Amino acid sequence: MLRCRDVEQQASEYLDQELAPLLQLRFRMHLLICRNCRRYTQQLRLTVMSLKQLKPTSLSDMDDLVEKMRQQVSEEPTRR
Amino acid sequence: MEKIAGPATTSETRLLKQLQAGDSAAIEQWVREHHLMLVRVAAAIVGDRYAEEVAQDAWISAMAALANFEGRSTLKTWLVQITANAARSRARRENRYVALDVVDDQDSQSPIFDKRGHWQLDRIQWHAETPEDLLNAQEMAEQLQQALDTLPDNQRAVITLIDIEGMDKTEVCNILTLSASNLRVLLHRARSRLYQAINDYQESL
Repeated sequence: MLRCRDVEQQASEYLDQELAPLLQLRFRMHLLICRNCRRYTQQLRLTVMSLKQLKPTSLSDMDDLVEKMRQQVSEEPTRR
Repeated sequence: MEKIAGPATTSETRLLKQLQAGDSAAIEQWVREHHLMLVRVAAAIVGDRYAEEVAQDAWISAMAALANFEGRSTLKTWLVQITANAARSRARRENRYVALDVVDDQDSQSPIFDKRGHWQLDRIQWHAETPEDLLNAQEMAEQLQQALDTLPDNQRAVITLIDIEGMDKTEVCNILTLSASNLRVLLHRARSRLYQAINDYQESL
């Protein structure tokens, strides 16, 4: 029988569908009877889904870098 | 099972042509879209101090090598690979190699379980059911971003490449020279920390 501690440790693999079939089944059985783990697993899934939608923080000014790369491209043909 | 990225999609082929032709707008968008990811990859290998510089150098190398890009992987994977290589050689030069392996930290103590392995405290219900709901609160989005920014470098690189960029785990293992089991541990620890950050915020509501 899985304990809540085991569920917490295996939750990422469960969400990524990487648990062996028997473990996956045991995990689901535990979720059926344990509200806390059900909640935790759903919330962990929501955490992962939210990450994809997180807007990247604005970085330090990248204008110089972009400019350097443009120059590199425009110089390229003369080097070949 | 190994999943090989590519061959390139139509949009990627178009992007590649634009980049090779030196299309300014395309270059700018490409850099803005991926720079942060490259900085995080570099930080995981060589540390924060040199990460920005390594990422910049990687862009320059990538531009120079674009003409020879063969499309054996996606452009994104190729970029990450170039950055990881640049970070490793910088690390050797600086004699500063950050071990990407799992390091025991305090994470395993949290969340808390009792002696029987049950949750010590009941999990609270969150005030959100979708990512949109969750991130709608500006403060919540900032907290999550901050939690991500302050993860240990190795955890941050792994979660960035896998959960944010959607890269394949086998690819990430190869690029970061991590074993599959170490990658699993790092990914779960990173997710747990972010979960905890959200949970703390939800508890405060």
